[in-house]
Amino acid sequence: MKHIDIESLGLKLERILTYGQYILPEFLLVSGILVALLLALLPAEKNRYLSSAIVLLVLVAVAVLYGFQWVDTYRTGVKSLLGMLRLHTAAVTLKLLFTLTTAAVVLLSLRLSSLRQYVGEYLVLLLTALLGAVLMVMSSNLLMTYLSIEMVSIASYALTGFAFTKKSAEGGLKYILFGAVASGLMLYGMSLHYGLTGSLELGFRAVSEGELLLSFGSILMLGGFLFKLAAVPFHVWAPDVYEAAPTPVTAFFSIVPKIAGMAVLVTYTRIFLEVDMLLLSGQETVRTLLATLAILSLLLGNFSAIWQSDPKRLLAYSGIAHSGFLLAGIAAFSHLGIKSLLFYAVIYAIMNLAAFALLHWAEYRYGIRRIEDFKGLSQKAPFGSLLLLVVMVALTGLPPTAGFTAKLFVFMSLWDAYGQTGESILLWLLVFALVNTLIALFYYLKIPYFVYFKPMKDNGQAQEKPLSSLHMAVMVLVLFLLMLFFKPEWLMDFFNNASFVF
Amino acid sequence: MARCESLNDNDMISFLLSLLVFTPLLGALLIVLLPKKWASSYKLLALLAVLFQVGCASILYTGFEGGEGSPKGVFDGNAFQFAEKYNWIDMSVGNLGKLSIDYHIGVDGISISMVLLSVLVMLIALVASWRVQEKAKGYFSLFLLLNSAVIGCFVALDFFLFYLFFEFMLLPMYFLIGIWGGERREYASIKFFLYTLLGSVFILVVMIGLYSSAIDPAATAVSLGLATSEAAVDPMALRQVQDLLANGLLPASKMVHTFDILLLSDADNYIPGSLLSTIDAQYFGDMPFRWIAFLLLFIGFAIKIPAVPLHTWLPDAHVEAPTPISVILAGVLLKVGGYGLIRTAYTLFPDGALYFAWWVGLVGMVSILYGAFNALASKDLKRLVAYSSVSHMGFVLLGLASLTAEGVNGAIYQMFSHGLISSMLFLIVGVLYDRTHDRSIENYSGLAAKMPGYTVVVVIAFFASLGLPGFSGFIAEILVFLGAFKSSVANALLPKWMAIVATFGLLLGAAYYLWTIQRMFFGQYHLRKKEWESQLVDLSAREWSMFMPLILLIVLLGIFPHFLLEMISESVGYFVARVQDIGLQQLKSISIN
Repeated sequence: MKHIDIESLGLKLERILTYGQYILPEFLLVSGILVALLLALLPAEKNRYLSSAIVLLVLVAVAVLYGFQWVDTYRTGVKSLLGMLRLHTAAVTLKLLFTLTTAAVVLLSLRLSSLRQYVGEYLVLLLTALLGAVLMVMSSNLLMTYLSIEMVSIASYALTGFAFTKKSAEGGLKYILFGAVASGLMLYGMSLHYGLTGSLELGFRAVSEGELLLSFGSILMLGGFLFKLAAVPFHVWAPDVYEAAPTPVTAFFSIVPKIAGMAVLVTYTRIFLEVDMLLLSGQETVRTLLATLAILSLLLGNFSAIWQSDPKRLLAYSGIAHSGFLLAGIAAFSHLGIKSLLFYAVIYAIMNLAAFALLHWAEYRYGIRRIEDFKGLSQKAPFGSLLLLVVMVALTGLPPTAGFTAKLFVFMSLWDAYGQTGESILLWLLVFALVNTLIALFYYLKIPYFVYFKPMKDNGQAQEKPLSSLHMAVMVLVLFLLMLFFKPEWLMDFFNNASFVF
Repeated sequence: MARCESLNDNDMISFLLSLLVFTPLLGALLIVLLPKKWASSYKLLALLAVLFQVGCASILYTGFEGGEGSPKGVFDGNAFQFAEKYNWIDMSVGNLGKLSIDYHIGVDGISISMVLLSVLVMLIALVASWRVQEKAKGYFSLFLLLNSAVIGCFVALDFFLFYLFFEFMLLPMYFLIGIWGGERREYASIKFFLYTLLGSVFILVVMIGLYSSAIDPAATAVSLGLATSEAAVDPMALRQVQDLLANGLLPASKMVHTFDILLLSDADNYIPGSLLSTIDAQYFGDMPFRWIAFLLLFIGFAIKIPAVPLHTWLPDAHVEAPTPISVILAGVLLKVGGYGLIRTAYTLFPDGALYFAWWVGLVGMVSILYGAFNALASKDLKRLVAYSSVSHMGFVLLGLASLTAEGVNGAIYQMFSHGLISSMLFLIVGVLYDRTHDRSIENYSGLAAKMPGYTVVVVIAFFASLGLPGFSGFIAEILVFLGAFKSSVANALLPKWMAIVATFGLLLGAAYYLWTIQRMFFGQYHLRKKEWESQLVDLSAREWSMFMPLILLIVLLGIFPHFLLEMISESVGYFVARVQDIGLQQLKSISIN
């Protein structure tokens, strides 16, 4: 029988307890999940608002804790927790972003009629997905990465079905099938890495043989991350799932898992680059690969978006194009690149949240499900239409919105990276990214086009309430978009001089 | 560089340009916020804003120092008048130093003519919009937004600011054409938007490149600790920073990158070896990046001008746009293209300007002829006028390409003059369209008998446009040709045949205008439809009030060119001399590498 070293066990326990304080917010989140689970036992009609309110409270508390954590990591720098998780400002920023997004999604979901029966389950799944995403951005261990990604995925599969229609069940199934393949590939890649290096920990160790296998493993792992990011070639699930899921859930999907996937990819790209440097005598194949995938995502996402008639599918394809932009930021792999990526992520979250909130509003108030249905909305709802216009302009990336600034920063980092490395693929990426702004204009403007240019079909529907709470909320988001155009440093300065190890 | 101080101490005066830019914006905001029941006051509010601008513009005109020995502007940041400079965005980008964007505006001889023109055309376009009733709130607020953006474009001295205003013209224009336009308005508006955005994407690439290639020496001196504030930086410290930069001793993290056009126009502010630097110039294939940048800017603005073969959006946009919007489009928006070339492409890349002069001239010449031929073939009066715009804006390119004082003066004179004449031409089309909703040339004949006043106005406008002596177009075109001919001797940029071939444009211009007058106004009185008979009444008082100031100005500038030339020629002379000097230097420095 193996001898158990009591003393070292004690030491380990002590370390776990010390590190416990760093994952306090996550503990709170877990207890939130448990509470929501218990609340689900109450009769459905009564607990709808009660459990939403409690979950919101938990989320706000978690957000506040993340705020403190942010200040803490800003002061002390990077912390490694038992080789499993890593805490740094960039990660905390994203965690905060995810928590706030989830809170907004909970608020948006209050009107979902399909949720009446299952609000408890819904909230549990949402919080679980959030927990997974939060762990994803901190993970620094292959196993941790895998587990957290699966945590997000499994919760997401179930969430897709929450419209309780045939279509939404179908979408959920498609999601599972794709997810299973992607996760299998990723796991295989990870096992190759483990087999060759003998460790699950992040960080490159020279191997004596099987260099090619190591690169192969990296590529397989990349597949899993691209799946979360919804980037080419692992994007196929996105349109169907976005269309099938209830709109607030779609909003969640388009933001949280995607940006978490981006964060993981950034973490691993550093490793991939090291592998490249050592094995392929400094040729940055990962950069080339990422840049190529970025170009493909941009082209495919944008060109497919042109032909869509369902606004959610349109945003799904546009989301694939946005993944291309995120990949571009990663391909530029530089200090500025990572910071512009964070900026982009925040702006993207704001824009998408606003866009989906407005789609949701148009859906439940005016029954709008197709882009043509937006006809003449400006006459019925001038204020909502104006907000929609600004959000679409921001998504296109035109000034004076932060959507432009975010793209500009990515372009700048690409240009700088090109100036420094001389890799011509980066220049091509820049060119494609710019041209794609044009294509994006074409389809984003389709919605305002119907809203403003086409006459109304009938007058029967309700006039807009002067100022609904949803409009106020979206207006705040829109004001953020405008403000961050005029003063990008108010956000960017948070990322400056901050510690991050991505 | 020391902080730009306004030449005047008076408070109101020192904010004059800001007032000019932001008054319409404020008006637009007010109109949006006013409740629907006040709908009739929207246009009054718009008029108030525009009249306020006219007031500001007249102060600007009287306060502007022109003539010999006046501040020249162009390359010299301290010699701009009514300048304002504030820090807008000041952001650290980590180990790449700092990004700084300034709210920097001011006028020199080149931009003041454009500002004055815009204010005037906006006023006339507003009068022309007086009868717009449908969705008045949207119309007048978009009108004022567009107004703001256009003026902003002409006074901006920071590339980012310029780009912001440039982009900001697109959306209002898109909606103005798309909602209030003619039958195929949707197609025309999206075509306009896509084309112009394509142009601005090209401009954006260059902007990013410039940003990462150059620094602001004064701000860098502050970040190095050589001075306490930008205002306290002395020339010694500037020199020191530029020396450090030239010798590669300036750490990247201390650099302050800038978008300021005047700082970007100084080759000493470029980081040696960066993509757009003249020292250790970088090549893409066998062409330096600088020349590619010039080409990109050229294409971006050529779309706006529009130059053949990038002009195809213009006839559609014009034909579908409502009359007042056509007036703005032809009168002001096209000028942004020409102005942008002068302010950015030529000022920042003089080497490219010299290298590509032949091509720019060729594009100008082809535009002149191709536009004229198309005008000759047009059956729709508005399409004819639109193509004549393409033809006339070709002169701007030809004059600019010659890089002689005459040519560039002529180019700017042509922009001003074309702004007035084309506004008048589109108003003329609008008069007819308002009455009959038909613009086919072949559907009218002998109108002179029925509408004598209108005929007089048409004849004046057509003669002015075809370049008859006594009208402003003549002065502009004669200057352009003088420049183009002189170029082959003076700086060998343009061959003689180019100017000779371009003169055929004048001939064609006379042909299509005279032929149109003959077909529509003289001969047997005939209309395609009987019911037009009662609708075709002569000009109303409101219409006269739009035409009269334009006619007066066109004639005034045709007889006394010095009113305009006095303002612009000092800056233009400086511009031409510097572009040639610096351009030659930079060409040498690039070819040495």
